[in-house]
Formats: sequence, structure tokens, C-alpha cells
Amino acid sequence: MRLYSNIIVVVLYIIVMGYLAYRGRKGNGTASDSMIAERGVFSLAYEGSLIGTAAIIGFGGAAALFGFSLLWLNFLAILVGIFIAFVFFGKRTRRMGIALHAQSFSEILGERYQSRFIQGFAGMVVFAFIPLFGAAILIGVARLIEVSFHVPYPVGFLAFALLLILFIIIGGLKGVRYTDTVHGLVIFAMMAILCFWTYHLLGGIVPAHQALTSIAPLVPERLADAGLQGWTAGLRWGSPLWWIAWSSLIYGVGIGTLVQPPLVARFLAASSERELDRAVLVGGVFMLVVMGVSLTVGPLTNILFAQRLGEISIAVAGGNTDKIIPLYVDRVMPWWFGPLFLVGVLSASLAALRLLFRVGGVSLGRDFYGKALGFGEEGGIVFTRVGMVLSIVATVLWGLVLPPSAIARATAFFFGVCAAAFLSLYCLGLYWKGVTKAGGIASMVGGLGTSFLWMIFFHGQESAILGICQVLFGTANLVADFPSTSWAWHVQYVDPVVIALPVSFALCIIVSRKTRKLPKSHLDRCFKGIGK
Amino acid sequence: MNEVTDILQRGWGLLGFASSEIAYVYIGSLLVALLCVIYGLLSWKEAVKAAFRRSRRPRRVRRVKKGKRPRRR
Repeated sequence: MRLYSNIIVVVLYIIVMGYLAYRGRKGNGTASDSMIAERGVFSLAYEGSLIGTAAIIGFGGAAALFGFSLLWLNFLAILVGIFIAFVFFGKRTRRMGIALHAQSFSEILGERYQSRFIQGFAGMVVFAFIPLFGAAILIGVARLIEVSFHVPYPVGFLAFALLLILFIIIGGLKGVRYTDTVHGLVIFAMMAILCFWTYHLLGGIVPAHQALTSIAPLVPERLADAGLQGWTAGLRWGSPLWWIAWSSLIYGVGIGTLVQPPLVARFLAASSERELDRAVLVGGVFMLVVMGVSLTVGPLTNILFAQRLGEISIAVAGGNTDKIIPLYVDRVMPWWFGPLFLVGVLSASLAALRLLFRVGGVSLGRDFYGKALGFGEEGGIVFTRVGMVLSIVATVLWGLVLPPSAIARATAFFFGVCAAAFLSLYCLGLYWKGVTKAGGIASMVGGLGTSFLWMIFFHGQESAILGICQVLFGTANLVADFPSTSWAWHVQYVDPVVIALPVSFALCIIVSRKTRKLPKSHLDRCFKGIGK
Repeated sequence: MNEVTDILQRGWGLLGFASSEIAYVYIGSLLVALLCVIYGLLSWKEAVKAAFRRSRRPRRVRRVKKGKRPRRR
């Protein structure tokens, strides 16, 4: 029954959306046309919560492992990623973008600091790493297809990748405004039903939390030693799981939401500041419903799996957190919810990936090739299209090679890299006239460099995969051989963004104070209309 | 107030959680979303008021100066 309903609904969805995409297609003549996308409150806020698509499956699964501690991410994502971003950065970004005629994230940085190097470097960083975030979204959908249709993971993955490419060929990379609004409403309804039904199955909000507290003894010994004290008890301070949750997932993603290239591009494309203000309402509610529900339902899946299958969520999923939410929807939620969830996640993912590929293409074509290398708009158009194709290919390849439980980690990696490289020069550039070109370059290169050095030599997750430290020093990372009771041993769980972000800010301020200021006329133009 | 707190904390902690910190972030997430809603509604209200004021502004009337006859066309 479930399988047939899933098949029928997905086939109908593909036909309807393919038709709408074909009808809504417009030519992408210039690189500017490729960048300017849908306007409107719903689209702005919906794409402002880009992280929602990774949150539903990836972070929901991570929350099933880490417990309710990850709700801090929801708190930060709404406070920082929606309220602070739109209110304190969105308007300034838009005004500065108008004054500087900037249309992309890299372009506003380049124009603000009068530096083609900054624009080109930022463009390359965005182009290089955005496929990783796209892969996280792709993997989530593939895991859902794997569980819903009972097919091997590679088959589900390639099927969705082909569907995605087909949609892009038929409909182009510009979305259709009203379909994105409908998608947003479908996802809203889907997550509201997921939350309500889960609490309903468990007898209410407080009884559900009490039941989850009661099964704390089911925490496996290995996880208990790593810091998990129960899904409602929080993580043990200073333990490995505490560092992973707080430094990578909560801090890295929560702060990184402030400087997401697609979000800044949306600020620049907003038709008015009133639209940004209204988007705070929609974005705040949308983020609460999508991410908040994922991070709430995730831990609660442990009770229902324990009651029905005799095992906690991570055991049911075979150690892969990315499969927990799809399995929950398939085995616990009513049969009619499965197709709705499939359509909702497919919609969200298609819209998000379309945006990411567009940003990747513009970063390579317009920002790096057209502006930084000086080949102008005509060359930029061709390379924008090349960049989009390369982004799609890179996303698919990353999706195939990333290990299990990769969605949350890949998302955290991308957000952390963006924060380390761009947060200081973006934030300070909007508020402080004293930031110089040299300060901007130093903070961007220094932040990114610090991040990579930490990954290569200290952060266990990346250093083991890269293997450079092993080759040079004969050890997985420089602190792995310390006693596990020492503070040094725990350093391998500290995310690079914790170190790189303060370094980036310090470099920006120190170097700016010691180097030549930008011309007053340029600064007056940048800050025209700001602060009045 | 103490009775309400006691009911909520029966052996499990606030809202059924083992840790108060979790309960506070649970409530805090709802409150910060409410902050976004209030901010959005206030800005929407300001926009509606501004639009209303623009529509109520009287139309300009051309005045004829004393001693001068209106031009014949």
C-alpha cells in the first residue's frame, strides 16, 4: 500500500512539476538574468531558510543521536540566521548593493573593498565548496527514495540526480514563482503534521518528553562514554560528543547562517526593505517549523522505535543517521503521510539545488572569470553556464563519495568555511568604514588558511580522510596520541571555525589599522543612505 | 506559581525534560520565532499605515491669482 501510493504520487508530481517548469521557463540571456531570481516575501524567506532542506533529514537524524541539545541550533538559526541577518544585515546589504550595483555575494565584497582579488577569491571559494552543501541535500533525498521505494541507495541517488538534471533542462535554473510558494506551503503542512502526529502518538508534549527521559538507560555504552547522558539530559560538558555538537553543528551552522552566499544574493535582489521586514515573519515561522520540528521529532523517534522495534533509532538505521527520519516516516507515520513527505522533500530539494547551482555558476562565471580575470560580461555568460554544469557534476560526485551520516557534517563544513572566510569582512564591511582592502584580504585568506591548517593537522574528522598529517608525522592528527583524559586529546573534536573565526576578525582589524584607508569618496558612496 | 512549577517538575524536570537547559532552549526557540512574527507584523502594519496616508492626501488645486484673468485657450 505504502509503496504503491508513493509511486503514484511521485509520478504525478514529476508530470505536474515538469509541465509547470516547462511553461514557466524563460531564457537566461545574461549572467545578470541568471542571478536575478524570484522576488516576493515567500520566496525570499523560503530560500532564506535554505538550510531547511538539509535539516529535515540530516539534522533530524543527527538529533536522534545527540538528543534535544541540538535545539540550540534551531534557536541560533532563527535568532541569527533570520532575525539578525534580515534586520541588521539585510537592509544594509541591499542599500550598499544598490550603491555599488552589486548583484552577487562576491561582487558586493569585491566592490566594497575595490578589489578584484577579493571578488575572484570569494567566487572561487563559493564555487569550490557549494557542491558539498548541494551533495548533502542530494543525499537526503536519495536516502528517502532508498527507504520509500526499497531500492539500493546508488539507484535512488542516480534516479534523483537524473530527475534533477531533467528538470533543469526543461525548466532552466530560474524557478517559477508560484510553484515555489506552493512548495513552501506543502513543506509547512508536512512538518506541522509530522510534529503533531508524533506528539499525538506519545500522548502529548510533556508525556513524550517524560517517556524519552525514561529510556535514558537504553543509551549504548559507547555513546555514554562519549558524552551522551540521555536524549533530554544534554551532553556532558567537554566530552567528544559535546564538542562535535556545539562547535560544528550548533556554533558553526548557527553563526554560518549569517553569511550564506545565496542568502546575501537574495538580500541584493529584494525589491524593497519592507519585503525584508516581512520576510522576517515568514522566515522565522518557516525555520521554526522546518528545523525546529526536525530537531524535536528526531530525538522522539527513539521512543517509538524502541516501543515498536525494540531498538533505538541509530540501531534501526544501521549506524547511519541519514536514514533515521526516512525510516521513521516509512514505518511509524501513517501510510498517507509518506507520499506527502516525499513530495515536500522533493520540492524543497529541487528548489534549493536550483538556487545553489545558480550561485555556483555565477561565482565562477561572473565573479571569477568575468570580473576578477577581467574578461567582461560576454565571457562571463559562457563561464556562468560552464560553472553551473560543473557545480551539478561536482555535487553528484560528492554525493557518491561522502560516507554515511554525512548530511549534517557536510552542511556544517560548508557553513563553517563560509563563516571563517567571509564573516569578518562582510560584517565589518557593513558597519565599519575603517576596513581596508588589505584587511579584507588578510581576514579572508587568513580565516580560510587557518581553517584548512586545523583540518589537516588537528580536526580528527578531516585529518584522517586527508591523510597529510599521517604522511608527514605518522599520526592521524597532532593530538591523537595524547591521553584521552587530557584536554589536548579533546582538541581533535573542536571544529575549525572555533579557531578560524577569531583569527579572521583579528586579522581584519589589525591589518586594517595598519594599512591605507579606502578613498573617502568611495566610502561615502558605499555608505550612501546607511545609518541615516 | 510554586504549585505550577511542582506539577511541571514531577521527577522529570521542566516540561518533562531531565535538564532545565533543554527546557529553556525549547521555550526560547518558540519565543524567538514569536519575536520574528511580532517584528514582521509591526512592519506590515507600518507599511499599511503609510499606504493609507498616501491615499488620503488631498489633491492639489491650482489657485488663480487676484487681478489676473484665467487664460483663454
